[in-house]
Amino acid sequence: MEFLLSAVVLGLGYTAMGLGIFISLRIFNLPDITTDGSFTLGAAVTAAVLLHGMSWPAALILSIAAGSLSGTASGLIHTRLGIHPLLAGILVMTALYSVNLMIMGRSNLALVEVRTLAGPTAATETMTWLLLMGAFAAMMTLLLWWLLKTDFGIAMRATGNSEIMVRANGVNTGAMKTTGLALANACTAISGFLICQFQQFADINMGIGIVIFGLGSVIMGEALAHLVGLRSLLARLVFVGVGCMLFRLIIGWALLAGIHPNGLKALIAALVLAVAALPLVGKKYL
Amino acid sequence: MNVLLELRQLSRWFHRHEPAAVLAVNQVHLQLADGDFAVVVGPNGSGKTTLLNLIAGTLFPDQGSVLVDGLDITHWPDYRRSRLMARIFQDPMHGTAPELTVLDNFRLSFLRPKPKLLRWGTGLAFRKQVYDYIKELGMGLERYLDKEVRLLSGGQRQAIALLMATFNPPRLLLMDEPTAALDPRTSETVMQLADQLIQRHHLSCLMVTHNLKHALQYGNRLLVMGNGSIVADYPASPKKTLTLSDLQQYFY
Repeated sequence: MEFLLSAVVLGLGYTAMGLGIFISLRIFNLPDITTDGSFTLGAAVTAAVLLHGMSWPAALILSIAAGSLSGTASGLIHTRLGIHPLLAGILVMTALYSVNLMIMGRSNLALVEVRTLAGPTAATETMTWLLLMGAFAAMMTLLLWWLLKTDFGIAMRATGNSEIMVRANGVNTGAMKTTGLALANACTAISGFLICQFQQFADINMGIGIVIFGLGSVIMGEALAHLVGLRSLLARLVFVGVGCMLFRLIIGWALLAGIHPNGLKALIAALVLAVAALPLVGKKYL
Repeated sequence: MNVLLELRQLSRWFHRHEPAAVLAVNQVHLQLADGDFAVVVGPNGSGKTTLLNLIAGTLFPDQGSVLVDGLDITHWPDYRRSRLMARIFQDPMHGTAPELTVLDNFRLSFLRPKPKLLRWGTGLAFRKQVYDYIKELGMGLERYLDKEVRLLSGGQRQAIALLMATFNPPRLLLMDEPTAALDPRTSETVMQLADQLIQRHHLSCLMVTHNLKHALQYGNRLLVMGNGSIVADYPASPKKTLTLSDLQQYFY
């Protein structure tokens, strides 16, 4: 029961990051590795800000700002310098490692005796976090849905879909992609903000492999939405969150079943591969 | 004559500083009157599509300038020129966003000259406007408003692209072999639709085509290109008496 609860709480906390991956991967067709760095960035900024005695809204705003900056950097490197988006992401992610260390001052910051989103760290219950994470996930899903339905959002969706067409209709696709990556990494930083407070520490390595987890969650959520016949934009966004929770559950279950923690990343990679390959394999052999 | 589009000594090289240099468009001078529908023909490699791309802003000239309504737009990128012109592509996939609904596609083309803001614009009023516009043409496409465009056939997509281009009428319509990817029958339907829309909105249009029959049948001016230059220019009345064999001589 405890394991189920914590998987759901973490899944909801990672939903913002999943939505970020949805933006970069599904809207713009750019697998954005910046995510690994901007997730840690959100956590690092949050921990540093809270330990400086500032409140969580300040931490939230600064995390969002830092996240958008890192996305903007990747976007500009890709669109203005013509660097492949994967390489642009790796470059920014690598640089962010140093940035994060500088922000934290060392490789690990524990949140002791500070007030987080859920109140004083000494007395926080998982149930409080369930509500908070749920509220954040729901709000962000609805906000992104609203955005994607606006005129700006239509232009955004069309950019990843038919670049020639949107340019002919007056959209600067370079600026649009950069904006999109800024938005995606702001979402990811919000997850860093949440997860850091929930686990009460920030660690320089906490973002490693997050992008794979996000990709897997988005693809799994989409497969699931497809399976139950839901195709609308809102349903697709809601199922990003479902995918995140399901992914955490599978990992939690694997750990519970006695898999060695060292094998966890291999398990995640195998899982993402399975989910990504399933549609094609299913079509060919079933 | 009220000049809409003017090309002044326009030149464009490809691979300019290499042995394989090609002068794709060579010192082209052209004036297109407001309300004219000019058709451009010529053999492959004669520079038709390059000329169209120089006007659309997907390519920039090495020399010369492009003016619309007397405004020098030579250095405007394509997405800025969309304020003045709409484009129809040879590949029906290029004129629409396949995974967006027909309605969302119309919204984008409606906003072609305007900024895309943070507001919902596809409400009931807009929907009705699009529905009525499509329905008037009697092709039955208004049923597909909520369908993703990728689910439509090539001919339907090209018809939708034409309707989108004229829904918020541009100053200039550029068509690059609009029927080349379609079967003969659909090709006729789409061309008739294009002509009907151009006449109804009194649009100025420049169309590149390889279909000489269409070149004779449509438009009020015919330009023939060869080796990067305009080698013949038939205004409305000489164009009327032009025959297929007259045109074919330019291809041998």
